[in-house]
Amino acid sequence: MNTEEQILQGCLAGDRQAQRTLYERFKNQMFVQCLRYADSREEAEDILHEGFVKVFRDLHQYSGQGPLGAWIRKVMVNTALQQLRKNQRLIPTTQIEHVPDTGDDDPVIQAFEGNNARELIRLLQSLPAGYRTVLNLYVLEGYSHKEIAEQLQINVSTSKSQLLRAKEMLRKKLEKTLNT
Amino acid sequence: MAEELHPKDGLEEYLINAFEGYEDETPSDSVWQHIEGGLPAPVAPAGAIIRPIAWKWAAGIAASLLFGGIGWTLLTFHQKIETLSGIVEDKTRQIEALSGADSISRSLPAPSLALSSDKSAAAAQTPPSLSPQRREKAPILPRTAAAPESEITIYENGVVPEPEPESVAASTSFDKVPDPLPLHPRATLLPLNASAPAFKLVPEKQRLSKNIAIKAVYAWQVRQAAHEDHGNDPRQSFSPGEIRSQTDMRAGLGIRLRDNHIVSFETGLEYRYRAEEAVHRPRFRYRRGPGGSQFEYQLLTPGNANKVSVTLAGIPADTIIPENEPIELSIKTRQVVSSINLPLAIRLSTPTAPLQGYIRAGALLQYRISERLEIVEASTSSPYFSFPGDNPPNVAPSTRQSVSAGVVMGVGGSWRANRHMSISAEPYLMMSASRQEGHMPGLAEGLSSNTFG
Repeated sequence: MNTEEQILQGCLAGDRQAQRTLYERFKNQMFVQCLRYADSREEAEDILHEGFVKVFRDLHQYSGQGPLGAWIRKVMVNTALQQLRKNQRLIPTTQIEHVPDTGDDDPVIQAFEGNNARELIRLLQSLPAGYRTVLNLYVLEGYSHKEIAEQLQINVSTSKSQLLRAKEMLRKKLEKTLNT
Repeated sequence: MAEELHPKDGLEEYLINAFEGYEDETPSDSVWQHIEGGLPAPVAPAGAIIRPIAWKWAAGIAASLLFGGIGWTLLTFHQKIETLSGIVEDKTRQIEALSGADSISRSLPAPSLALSSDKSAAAAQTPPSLSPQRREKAPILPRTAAAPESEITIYENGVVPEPEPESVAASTSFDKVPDPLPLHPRATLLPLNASAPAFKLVPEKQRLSKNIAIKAVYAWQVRQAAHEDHGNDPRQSFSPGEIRSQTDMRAGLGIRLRDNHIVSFETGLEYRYRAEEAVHRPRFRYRRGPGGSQFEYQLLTPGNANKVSVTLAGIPADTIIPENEPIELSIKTRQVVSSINLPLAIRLSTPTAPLQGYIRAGALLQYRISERLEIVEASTSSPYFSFPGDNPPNVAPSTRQSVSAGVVMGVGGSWRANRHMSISAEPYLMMSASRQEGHMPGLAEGLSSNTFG
């Protein structure tokens, strides 16, 4: 069972092997995406689990327009946002956000010159959930501020300010890392 | 997702490039296991033969039948069943031995009656000679030591001889004074006692391993039942309506073994607490006898394990009380039962997520570890009597142990909050088989009274 079409048809028919194949084909890519939204690896696995359950449950809704991976990716994003909403970590606009202090002597930052993506993930996870979500949606998913505002039920100006703060905080963290 | 691209600054470009094609993160193996657990049952390939019944199916069904069979057998031996004819024979012998009143034995039905759950059939067995007229003049047997040669004195037509000295201890010793007239046998066979539906919440921590889940159970119900009984004893007439309220609470832990997405087996241990209150309102007609003015009503519990006597006393001996003065009592009793239940059930679930429906059926083994009956309050509307000293009268609590079995069934739904927890709610119905004997089912299963004056 090699082609994406064969896998898709097998999954729609309830074939466990096809479902496993689909999962194996996209798990790493989607897990990276989940890591960017989550606070921790465990939470990312939770999002991944919930996301794939939805994928298999709603696979019949995939119309075939666009790659299957893009459709799965969208499901993962929605699942991540739903998880954050459920845990009430998408902070309302009026709440004062707490910025965790990673410390100047954080070994992760000091060792940054290694695997950029992996370290970037850790830096992203150190950002507040609201900053991180807006940053992911705008920069990496390509959402507009209007779409982000609708998705997170905030206003456009809040989305913009959150993005600016997220980038500023991340830049400072990166500078600390790159300059060491 | 918007397809339009907005200009990227340096940081944004850096982020996009860093994650471009990056797939070097791998989730743990347990993620797929959990995903697979939430998927519908796999579709069998075309042409597959019918799979033979798994051993777990057979073991679960066999265990349920085994528990049910053992429980029914224990029930049969636990509750003592006396035939109608045996009761009549026994009482007849007592009368003839103590009073030599052949006329009474002749008026009794032939000892050839069998147990029947048909009330009309039971009512039809009453002695035909006990007509309403005769009932008015039914002899009242005093609780008195009387003459040395006899413990019982029968008064015909209400003629009361001179009172004779007696010891209080002898007059209040129930065990020594047999019933002067046989209780009209009223063995009621109740094949099922159905409890009212209740709800239970079962938070369940899922997946300690692939197929085991641990659950906690809490259930609470309150029910009310009204029972009517119209006694046919010539010495008594009941006012109908025993109102009963019952509070039932359960707590426990259980284990569920999942064979696949649809079938699972459940077992566990539950503690059950039940508090029951009943109100009895018997009504009697007063007869004066020798030795004072006292009236005693005796409330018997199953197997006479706990005789409760309510004595009205205290009126002056020279008080004139009209004949056939009706006396109404109100006796409120309370019983607390604790038990440990061992359910064993099969559960069939719908292959959906996160919401699931299911049905559950199986056997229930119950070990009842305590039972206590007490009088909460007793009162009478008669102006001629009052309860002695303490009210309610003191009752020595009794303890009883028993083992019983029955079936348990439930229909409910569960919601999976996440891969670690799910919550179930179901109305459930538990039925147990029991046999009861006496005038009233439940707390008071046998009633008798002795009047003495």
